[in-house]
Amino acid sequence: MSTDPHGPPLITAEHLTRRYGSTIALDDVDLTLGTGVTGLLGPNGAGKTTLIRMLTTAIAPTAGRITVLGHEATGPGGERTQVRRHLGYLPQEVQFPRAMTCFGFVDYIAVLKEWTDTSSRHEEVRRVLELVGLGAIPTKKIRTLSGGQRRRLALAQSFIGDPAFLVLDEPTTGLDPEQRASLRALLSQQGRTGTVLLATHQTEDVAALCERVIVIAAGRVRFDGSVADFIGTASGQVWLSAQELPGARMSWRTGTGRVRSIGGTPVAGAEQTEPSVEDAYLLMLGADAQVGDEVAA
Amino acid sequence: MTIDSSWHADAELLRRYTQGRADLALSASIEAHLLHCPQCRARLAGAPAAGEALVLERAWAGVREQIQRPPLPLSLRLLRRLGLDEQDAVLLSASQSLRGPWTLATIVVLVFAAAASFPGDAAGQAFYLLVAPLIPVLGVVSAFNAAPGSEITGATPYSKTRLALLRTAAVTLTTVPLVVFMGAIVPGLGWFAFAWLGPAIGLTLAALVLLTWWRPQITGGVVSIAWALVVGAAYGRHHLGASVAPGAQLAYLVLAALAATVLFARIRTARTPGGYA
Repeated sequence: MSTDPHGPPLITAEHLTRRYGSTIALDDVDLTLGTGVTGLLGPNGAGKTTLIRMLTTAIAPTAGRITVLGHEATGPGGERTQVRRHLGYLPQEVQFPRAMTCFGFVDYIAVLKEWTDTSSRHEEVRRVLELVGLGAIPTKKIRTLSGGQRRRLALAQSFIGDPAFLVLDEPTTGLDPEQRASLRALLSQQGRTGTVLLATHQTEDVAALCERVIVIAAGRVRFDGSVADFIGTASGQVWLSAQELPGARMSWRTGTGRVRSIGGTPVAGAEQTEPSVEDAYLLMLGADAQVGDEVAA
Repeated sequence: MTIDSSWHADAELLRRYTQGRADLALSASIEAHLLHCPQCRARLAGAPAAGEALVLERAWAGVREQIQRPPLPLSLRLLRRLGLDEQDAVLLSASQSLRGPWTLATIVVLVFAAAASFPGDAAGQAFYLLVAPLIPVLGVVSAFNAAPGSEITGATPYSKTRLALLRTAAVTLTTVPLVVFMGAIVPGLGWFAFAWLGPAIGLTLAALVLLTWWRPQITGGVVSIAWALVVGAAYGRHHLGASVAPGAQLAYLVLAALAATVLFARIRTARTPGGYA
């Protein structure tokens, strides 16, 4: 368990365990989150979605306790409601009411987020639609939106009311490079005052955006620390050479014609190169990085 | 009248004037000054755009509000006229669930309008008694759990029980009058046209209780089969009226009271399987 350097822990999870029958999706996980953007990395089936669903009060843990801004996310109904008042959540998949318009959908979520005054609520809906670049098409029906536009619409609702705890599951899926860059700008802004948890398979998003990374595999936390420290775990183990190194965890021929090898025994002519988040991730998880499907949650 | 030519309206004063924030007396005073002061007029000449922009922005905000606010479906416009809250209307407009029960109720109206040409037919009466109470039941079952984007709505502070009951109440309020109207205009139904309301209340509340344990499809199936057995048994004994006789009505009301009690207890404690309510 590590504490965020940017302030006192705002979100705390202790001994979190979740079982589905005989399958253990999450096994005695401890973590704390402060302000800033934290990346949550892990292969499919690692328990990321299960952890996120518990943090967002969607499911109860089999054992353990979560507190969010002083309220118990694993507590009675009133406490969970308090947690939800601070929460912005983007699930991995969203079932949209396809006949609704962009404005109508976000307005609906804003009502559920207790925006009672119509005029300020509509103002907020317009603000978040602008934020994700959908301000020009508020009356467009959801069924006519492209995949990227739908993803941005789902993102828009998570920003309603500038939540103190923003949980995003694969937010950049379906976004083009420009949209991805503008989302990064938005999230880094959000991370200055609030807590952002970003579950992703995109290691480049973690490298570009996060100060901290948590790696989870087989229901357990495998790494929890700064991105620099994480990259440091692969230091001296990434090589460029004319051919694949013997014993390399993974290797591929790059655009320059040289072979990049992660791990393995260096041969004559092999040069060490700066590792990336992806290298550290692949090295840490090895074969685990590609196994299984996400546990149904 | 002497004008002090050394005094000029400052920028803030001119801004208040152009933006319509100066009161009548101040506006009149500024206008009097402007008549004699070419410098202030010149400064103001650069500023009217701000005033116009404000008026334009206000007008545009009004137009935008009208255009962007999605139109409500007919059923919700009716409920709004009956006093439905604006936020509740937004919540209901997101739910597709009202369409199914409405379509079902309309089809049943048409079927019975056609059946009206056979007044007093026992099979027609039995069919009516079988279907009429199930319309609100099936409406409630389909509406109960039909929140769009349920993963997102689950993470919002709004009470999910209230949301579910709001949808079910809207379905009941919009379908029951339709079926009552249909029963009233179809000849040959006699007192059956209204007798179904007793079982409808009992079955709907029972369905709501079962929904706190079971999935909608199972609940709808179980309640429908149970009611079909009651009507079928009465029809088989050639005494259809027994299923809605005063004694039976009392039983439905007792069922309703019991279900309401259990429902109240379940609302306070219920958790959805593996998760939270």
